[in-house]
Amino acid sequence: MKMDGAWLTTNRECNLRCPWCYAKGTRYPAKQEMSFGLAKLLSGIIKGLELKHLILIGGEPTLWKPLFEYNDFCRQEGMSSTIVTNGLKFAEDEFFAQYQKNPCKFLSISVKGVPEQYQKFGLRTDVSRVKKALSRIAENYNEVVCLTFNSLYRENLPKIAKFVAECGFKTLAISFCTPSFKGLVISGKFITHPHETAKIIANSYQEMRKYLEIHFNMNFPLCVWPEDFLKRIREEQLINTGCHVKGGGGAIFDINGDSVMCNGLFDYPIAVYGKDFWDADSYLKFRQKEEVKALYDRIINFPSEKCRDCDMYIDCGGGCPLLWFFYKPNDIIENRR
Amino acid sequence: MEHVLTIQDLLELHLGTGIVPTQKPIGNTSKRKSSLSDRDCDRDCRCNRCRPTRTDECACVCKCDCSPDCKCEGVGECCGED
Repeated sequence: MKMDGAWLTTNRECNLRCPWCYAKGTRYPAKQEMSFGLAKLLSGIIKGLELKHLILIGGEPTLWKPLFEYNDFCRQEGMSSTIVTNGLKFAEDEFFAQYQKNPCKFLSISVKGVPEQYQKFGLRTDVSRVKKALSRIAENYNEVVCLTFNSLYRENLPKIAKFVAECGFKTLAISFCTPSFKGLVISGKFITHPHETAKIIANSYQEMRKYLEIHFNMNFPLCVWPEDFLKRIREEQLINTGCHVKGGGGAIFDINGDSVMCNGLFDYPIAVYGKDFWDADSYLKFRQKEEVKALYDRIINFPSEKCRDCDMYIDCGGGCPLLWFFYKPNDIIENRR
Repeated sequence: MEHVLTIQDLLELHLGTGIVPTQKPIGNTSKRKSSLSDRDCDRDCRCNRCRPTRTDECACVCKCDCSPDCKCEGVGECCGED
C-alpha cells in the first residue's frame, strides 16, 4: 500500500465562523491544538510513509502557535507543507514578516466572498483587512484562490470573482459545499441543490471569466452539469475530479493524532494514535486490515445503479461520497453514455 | 452516558448501492494553464498541483500523469513515465 497525501489538523481555533464550515461541529475551541511534539512525531510517521509534503489544515492554521517553529522543523527534515488558510493573518505586519522568514512551501487560500460578507461570517475587524490580506498574498505568492460555493453565494458569484481579481489573483478554483457532520447530526443547510448549483454556475461562468480564470474542483457528480458546459470545461482542462478517499491513499491526522478518513469526518476516527498505530509501519498495517479496507469500500460504493455503466464514472467517481449521507443519489444522478 | 457514533455506525447511514466498483475511480487532474505559465514551468506535467518553485524545481504533490521528460520529485512521486 502506498500513501499519496498527508494532512495534519493543527488546531481548531478560527478567526471566522463560516456557517457552512465542515468543522462547525468542533465549535472552534482555542485550547484544542496539536502540540509541537505531536506534530513532529506525526511528521515522522508521514516521512516514514515516503511522503515529503503534507497539508496543514485547521481550524485556521495561521493561529497555530508553533507554526513557524514547525516550518523550521520541516525544512530541517527535508519536508515541506501547504497551509490551507483564509489568509486574514497576512494583513498583520508582524505575522507577515515572520511568515516570510519561515514560510510554508505553498498557500491554499480560501476566500469567503466579498469583504462585506466576512462580517456576517464572524470578522471582528474592519473589512479593509480582507483586501489588505489577500492583496498582500497575491503580490508575494503566486497562488490560486479557492471558494467553496454554497447557498450564501447564490446571488453574488461574479462579484466575488471580481473582488478576487482586484486583489491580484488570476485564478479562482471553485468547489462545492458538502454536508457537515457532528455525532448524529448531518447538516446540509448551506448546500445549494446540485442541479440548481449547476444552473447558477453555468449562467454566471461567462461573467466570472471576464475577471479571471475559473477552475473547478468538482466534488459534485459530473452528470449534474449541462452537457455543453461540461464539455467546454473538460476540453479546456479547467476541472479536477476525484479525491484521496476514493483512491484510499490519504493519511489524515487530527489534533490528537488520531486518523480520520476525511477532514469532514473529524468526529469519527478510524484509528487511535498510540493504540492502533504508533509509527509508519503500524499505520500501514492498520490501513491494510480487512475491517479498515471494508470501511473505505463502504464509503466509495456506487452511489447509484446509474453510475455502474456510466462512461464518466472513472473520472467522476459519483462525486463526493459525503453527499450521499444527505441526498438520495437517484434524485441527483443521471446516467450519461 | 453519551452515545458515541463510530465510523461504522455512520457508514450505515450512507445512501449508496452497497456495490463496490471493481475499478476505483481515478479522477482527473487538469492542467491549470495560467498558473503554470505564470510560474514558467518548463515541463509538460499535466498534474494540476505541479508547481515549479522559484528555483525551477518541479514539486508534484500528487500522483500525476507526466510526460516522459518530467523529472518531478516529491510526495507520491510521479507515476508517469519519467
